Amino acid sequence: MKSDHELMISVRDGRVAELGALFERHNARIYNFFLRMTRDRQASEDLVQEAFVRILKYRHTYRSDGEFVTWFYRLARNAANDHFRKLGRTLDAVSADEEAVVEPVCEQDLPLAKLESGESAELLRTALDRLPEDKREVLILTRFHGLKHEQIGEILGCKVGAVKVRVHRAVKQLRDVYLTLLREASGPSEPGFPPSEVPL
Amino acid sequence: MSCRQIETLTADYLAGSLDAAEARRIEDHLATCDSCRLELESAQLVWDGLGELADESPPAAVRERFYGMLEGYRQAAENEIRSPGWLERLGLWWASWWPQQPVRQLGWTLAAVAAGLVVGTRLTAPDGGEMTQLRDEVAGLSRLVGLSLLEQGSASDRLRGVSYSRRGAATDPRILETLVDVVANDPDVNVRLAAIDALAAFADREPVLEGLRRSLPQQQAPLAQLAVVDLLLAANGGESHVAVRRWLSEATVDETVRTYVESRLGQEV
Repeated sequence: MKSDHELMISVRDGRVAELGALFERHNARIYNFFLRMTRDRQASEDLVQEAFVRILKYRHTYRSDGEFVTWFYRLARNAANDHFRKLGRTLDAVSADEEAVVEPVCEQDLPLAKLESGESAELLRTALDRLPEDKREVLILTRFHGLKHEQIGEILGCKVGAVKVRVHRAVKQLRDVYLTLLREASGPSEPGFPPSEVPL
Repeated sequence: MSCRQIETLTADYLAGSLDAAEARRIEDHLATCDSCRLELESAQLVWDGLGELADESPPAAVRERFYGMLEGYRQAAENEIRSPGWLERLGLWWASWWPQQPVRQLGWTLAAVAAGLVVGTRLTAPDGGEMTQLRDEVAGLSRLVGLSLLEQGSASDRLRGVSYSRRGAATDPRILETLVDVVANDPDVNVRLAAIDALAAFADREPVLEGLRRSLPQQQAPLAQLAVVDLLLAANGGESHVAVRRWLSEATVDETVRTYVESRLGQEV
């Protein structure tokens, strides 16, 4: 079976039918990437189409020593960026506190065990949706797409160290948002939790 | 290991990409620091919870649209191959007309040489007006060849087209328009770079600058981005500076390109 890279080289060199094999391998993943980024099924369908059109459009730029996944996610991310730009937003709006020092927070009695229930999974999905786009993106790439920090750095155009810091802060913020939602859902009797960084 | 160091290792800890020595150092720290232990445990729970969120299957329409698009692309590419350009058609016409037998080829060649000699000796040298007309006709032919080559499927043909087009660009605004269009839309970065280079001599013309400003957000290749930015900033116009600044603030730009453009903008200020 041909690797992604071999298929992409074939597409680049004019055998565009090979794009079908790449589509079969990656359409579900990239659809879910867009879905988690946009929370809009119709827009995600359109963006999948746009991402594969961009492969054909920019196939000449694929390098023989390149890596398909990072190249493809860069194209996909640009497509998402254009989508957000039309909505007046941007993926690159990294939080102003990007380089700020985050002190370790000491929490007691965190009600996180409830994550196991289906209801809590839904709350976690809502919490993920409420993250700023740049933090949501880095979590999606690393957790749902299994990309290495080096690959994400290449996709986002930043250093590996910055990716790791973003992941850490994104997880921290996701936890805080989730706990806030959980507290709201549980009513006033639930133990209080002082979120350190809640963007609601 | 300090609490701050734990923070920098959280991403690797969650992804399971720590080496054995780092993992042991973290475990040692967690055994003595309740704060970090709680922090990491809660992060791990959120991380694991994310893993439980299922993917959705794309609707069937995604597949239908993709294969429809791919088929359309293939057909368009095949049609492009099937329908020859005018140069190719000229070659086909010539091939159909030119005799295949060497004897006949020799005969026609000798006849053409003889006819040339007769005409050459009987006609007087062209005056200045005729020379100008002849020059115009050659320039027109060059323009036609250049524009035709720019429509070809292969990048090397289009590169030759840019080279031809350079010659007539000074006098023909249509060539400049075409070159600007190439900068914005040609899929091959080398062709775009050649067109940008050809336009450098005309960067004082507003239509060229306007086209370059419009093309900037469409440039994906760092080299093409730098070439367009250089040309825009060299033109030293306020509108171009604003466009470059806006692009830099909005676009996804390679860090090296960003650093360079920021330094150029700083110099201009």
